[in-house]
Amino acid sequence: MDFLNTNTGQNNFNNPNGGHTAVYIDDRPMNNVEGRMTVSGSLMQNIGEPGFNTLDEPIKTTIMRDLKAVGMKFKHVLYLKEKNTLLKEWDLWGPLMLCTFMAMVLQASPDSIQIGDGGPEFAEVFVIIWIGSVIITLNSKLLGGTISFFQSVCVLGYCLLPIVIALIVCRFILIFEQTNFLFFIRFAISIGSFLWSTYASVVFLGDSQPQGKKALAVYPIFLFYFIMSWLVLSHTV
Amino acid sequence: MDFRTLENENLPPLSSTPTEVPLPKYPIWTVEYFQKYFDVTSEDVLERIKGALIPTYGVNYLQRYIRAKPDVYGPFWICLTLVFSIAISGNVANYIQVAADHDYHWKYNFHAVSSAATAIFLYAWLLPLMLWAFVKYKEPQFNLSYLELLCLYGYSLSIFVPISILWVIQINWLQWLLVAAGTLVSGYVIVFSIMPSLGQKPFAFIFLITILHLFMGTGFMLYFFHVPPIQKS
Repeated sequence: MDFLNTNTGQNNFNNPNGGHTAVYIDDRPMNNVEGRMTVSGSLMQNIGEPGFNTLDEPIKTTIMRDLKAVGMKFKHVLYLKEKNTLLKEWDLWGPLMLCTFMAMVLQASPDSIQIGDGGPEFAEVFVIIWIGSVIITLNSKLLGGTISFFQSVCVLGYCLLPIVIALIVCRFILIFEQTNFLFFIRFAISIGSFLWSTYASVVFLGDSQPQGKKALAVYPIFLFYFIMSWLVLSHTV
Repeated sequence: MDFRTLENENLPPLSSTPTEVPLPKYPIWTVEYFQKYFDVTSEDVLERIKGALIPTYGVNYLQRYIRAKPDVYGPFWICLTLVFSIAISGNVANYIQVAADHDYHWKYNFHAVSSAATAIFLYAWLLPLMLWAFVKYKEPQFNLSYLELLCLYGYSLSIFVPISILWVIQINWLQWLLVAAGTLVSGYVIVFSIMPSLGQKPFAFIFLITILHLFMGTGFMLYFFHVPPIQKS
């Protein structure tokens, strides 16, 4: 009878207006359920989870919060003020977005095998980015680094952001008639983004290496971003 | 004396544990098991690369640099660097050749990466394995391990990184001079490191190693940097 009544529990039986069902839907969390949920919630809060409940909020709020978290991490890559957010609350959404975007822009179109650029295919860019960051992470673990696997993959993925920005700018420049001057600008942008990405990831990951091995862990990162910038610069169609 | 023996009788569980701590045994599927192959510092790697780039006469490279602690870091990253330096500068060389005639639309060849990777990793990783198995079969007292041969081949290839960048310059005699210099230096490092371990009649093996090495150096140059006259027209 009153299955639509989401708000009340036992109180309804004591309702003086018997027979009248109060049908209203409330977004506010139920008190008795809330009481039980906070038990696990308080456990989560111990490891740094903020005090919200994902079960009874609109899905839009959930998605927006995740998007905001990804946006904040992008901001940290560009500003390099504090590095705990990126390291402690790692996620792979940002890397997935950047990687998919790069793969879509850089891929050679299927009819361009004869005349176009002999660029990489979608899957090749995808594989280079993911396998590349996995190899770099394994390398740093093998050298005795203390960082966890997904933290490192997350940082390497997020630090692709300057290169993605360079790709967007270069893509825009490619609209115009190509001259030596414009090539020089694209060259400078690629080099700049490469240096920025390398510097950012070294800031995030540099502390995790044992003494005397830092250069050995940084060199693969350098090589990885160098290759990505080469792909950006070589992309001409 | 009595105290000593009493203590010794009590101690075995205690004294056996410290001996286990310095040499922990990790199963093969863990990362820690492989850490022993990456146990080098930045200075070690720089020294080893320097030793391979500028070999000193009369110094056995393998004895001097590698024998104490062969690593996998150097061979792996030198090979990967070489793959991309050859692919990138091969593309630049191709661009320079094409830029001369304006009507031809230049396309960059990303797939040079995969062919370079196949060639280099076959040469630096598979060839030492085959060489090791072959020499071991012919000369059972051959005392080098596969790891040492891999390390030797990997580090000796490091001279081709600067050479592959210089190959961009499109002067025929300079390119061939660089081929000669590269194969000579790295071949010297390899041959004179292996020779003492080859036993009484080393010359057949050395001949084989040298031929393969010459073939590798010439192959890189011709395949990635040299445009035959037919394509130019």
